Amino acid sequence: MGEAKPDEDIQKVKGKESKVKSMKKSINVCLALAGLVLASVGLTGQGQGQGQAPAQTPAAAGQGTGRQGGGGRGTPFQLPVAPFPNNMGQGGNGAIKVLFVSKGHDFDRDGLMTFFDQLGRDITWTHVEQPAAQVFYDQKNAAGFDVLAFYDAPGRAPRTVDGKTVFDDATPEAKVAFAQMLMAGKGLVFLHHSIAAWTHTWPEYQEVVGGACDWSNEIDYRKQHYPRSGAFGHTKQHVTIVEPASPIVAGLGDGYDIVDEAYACPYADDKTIHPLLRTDFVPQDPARNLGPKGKYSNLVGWYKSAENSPVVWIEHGHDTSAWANPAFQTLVVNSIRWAASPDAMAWAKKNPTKIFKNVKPLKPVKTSN
Amino acid sequence: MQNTLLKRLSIAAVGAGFLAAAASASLSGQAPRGGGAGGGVAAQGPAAPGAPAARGGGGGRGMPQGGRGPIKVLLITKGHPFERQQYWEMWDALGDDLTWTHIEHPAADIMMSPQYAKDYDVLAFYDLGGPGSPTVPRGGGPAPVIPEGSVITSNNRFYPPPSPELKKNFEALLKQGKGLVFLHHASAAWAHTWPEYSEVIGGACDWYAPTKVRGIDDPNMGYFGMTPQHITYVDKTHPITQGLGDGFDVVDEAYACHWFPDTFHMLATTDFKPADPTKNLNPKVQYSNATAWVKSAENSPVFYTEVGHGSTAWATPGYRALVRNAVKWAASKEALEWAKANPTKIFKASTN
Repeated sequence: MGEAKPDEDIQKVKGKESKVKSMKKSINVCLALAGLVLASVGLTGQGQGQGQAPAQTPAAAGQGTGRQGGGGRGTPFQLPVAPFPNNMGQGGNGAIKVLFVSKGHDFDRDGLMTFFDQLGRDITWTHVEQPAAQVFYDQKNAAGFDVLAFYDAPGRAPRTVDGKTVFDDATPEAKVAFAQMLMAGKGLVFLHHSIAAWTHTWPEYQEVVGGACDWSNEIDYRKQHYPRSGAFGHTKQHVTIVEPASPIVAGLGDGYDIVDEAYACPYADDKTIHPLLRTDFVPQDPARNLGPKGKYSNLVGWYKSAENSPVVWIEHGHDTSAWANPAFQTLVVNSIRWAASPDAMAWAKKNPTKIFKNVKPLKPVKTSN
Repeated sequence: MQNTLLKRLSIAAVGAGFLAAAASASLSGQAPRGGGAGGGVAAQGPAAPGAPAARGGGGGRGMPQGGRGPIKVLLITKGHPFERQQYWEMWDALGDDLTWTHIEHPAADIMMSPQYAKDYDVLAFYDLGGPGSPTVPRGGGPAPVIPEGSVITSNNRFYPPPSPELKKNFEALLKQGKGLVFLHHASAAWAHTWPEYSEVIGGACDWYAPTKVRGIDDPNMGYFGMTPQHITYVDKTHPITQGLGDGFDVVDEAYACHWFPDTFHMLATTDFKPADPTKNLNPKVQYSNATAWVKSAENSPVFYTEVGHGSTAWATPGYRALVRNAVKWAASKEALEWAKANPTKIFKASTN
């Protein structure tokens, strides 16, 4: 909502203009406040009409889950007075350069962008959407960025071609370039529905992230077929820290509560990932989303390597309910700091995960900011 | 004066009501969204009636974020903040005609090239490339790193230059021919550091520092927030203005900037006039009330409109219609052919 001209410049305006400006500014402040009030009313309203007792315990959450969401239904979610107190202005001005990738799954755009703004002391973020984002799979084009943060989910809209169902894929050049960028080493942070990106067309990408989801279509993952994944909106969960020594969970103690969409998807709950976070949410009927052979994993966060690159994935992040949660804010900023760090890069190089079999590495391009 | 203020206030109040309604509608629209195929009782119907996809949710209902129309638009921003949510909503509302992809500087620099712009019919600019910053930060803090080649103005602001690659690639793109749509503060991009870029647009602005434009020193260009204006179409037969009537009323920021009327074909004027243009422009420069125009830049068709600062303008149907038509024109074969038949040479000493 902010007035577009920085304060320092407003002072330069003379006479009438400046009156209009400041009036406009105060109107905007009013609008912002009105927006906040409405937001909290609107979100509180979500709890109504579900006929559930308030303050359900997490253990009982499984009972009521279904399409209309999880156990958080009866608990009105309250926005804090100032959800994003450290807002540094659009784009931030921190030292870590982040390329923020989206498109392919709708979301509250300004809400998440405002969330990134409030990490602005640590990061400077630049938004790019698919399909343009594939240009930055190329390490030379991504050289200005320390970390790629993904909130995209391309390739999920099925089309029928010659009677067969097909999904959009990344371009062949982008796929090769992405593999080469990972071989050279780049920090990657995947949030929430980004685990569904390219899931129907690019099995190696599933291995980069460490799992696969699609809530609208059946999927194949590691040569096994799965039903449509589960998504349980506004689920109240308690999350336990699995590896407290990791810098990614620094400051979170032994766990936290969060109300957010929970997933039931096939995850690589094995040696290819390092578990960080586990939720107490359990879907009522896991077989419905994971098939008779599939096993529900309560992992909601891990780190891993992909080729020579450090990777973090956090399941949380559907909407403001998660974004305004201090634990989520801590997780994201820690993940970005870690993925950008020489330590993480050295760790990934020492513990690489070979994923792309038929791609030759290129000489690494140094990050240039 | 008081009357005008009241008018402005009541317009703002109407705007507030509109926004409030929109916010509440879109947030409650999120409520029924539980996600995908979660196993469980009482499966909700797939389509919650009336739930807009604009905030949250997504997938399958109504206009997807980014639109689904045939014209591929690369929307470039950064360098000047704006009301993001309302801006995205305006572009989504044009989504039957276009599919838009957002990108910010500095990533956008890379796309302004024949190689990467090839997947887009139109580049739409709502950016402010190469924005200035104070050389000494207000409120203390470490001194900024001033890039080599920056222009430092007499009031101690520095303006970083475009990279040599950007200059070279953008020139090549213009010569090849690409539809370009510049909106509002995009006319301030690179105003101190890349004079050819101002020639591409057909004018230059900077409201924060004395600016040398076409070799003339302008003292400090003007911006006049939330100004009620009537926009009049002076060419009603152009493909962009055809069918749009005589013009439209809008409450939006108006500029007193240094336009180059000798370079463009005027489509629309504003009835706004700054009280004292000499405060903003060098006496040698006449204030121009041109507020929308088309021109060529090398072999590329270019559209610019000054209108479009904030959500009040973006919600104005007349403004949306103008932007929609501008994009359609810039994407058209006719516009490309027109630009090729009427090219404007801009780059004298080619960098290519």
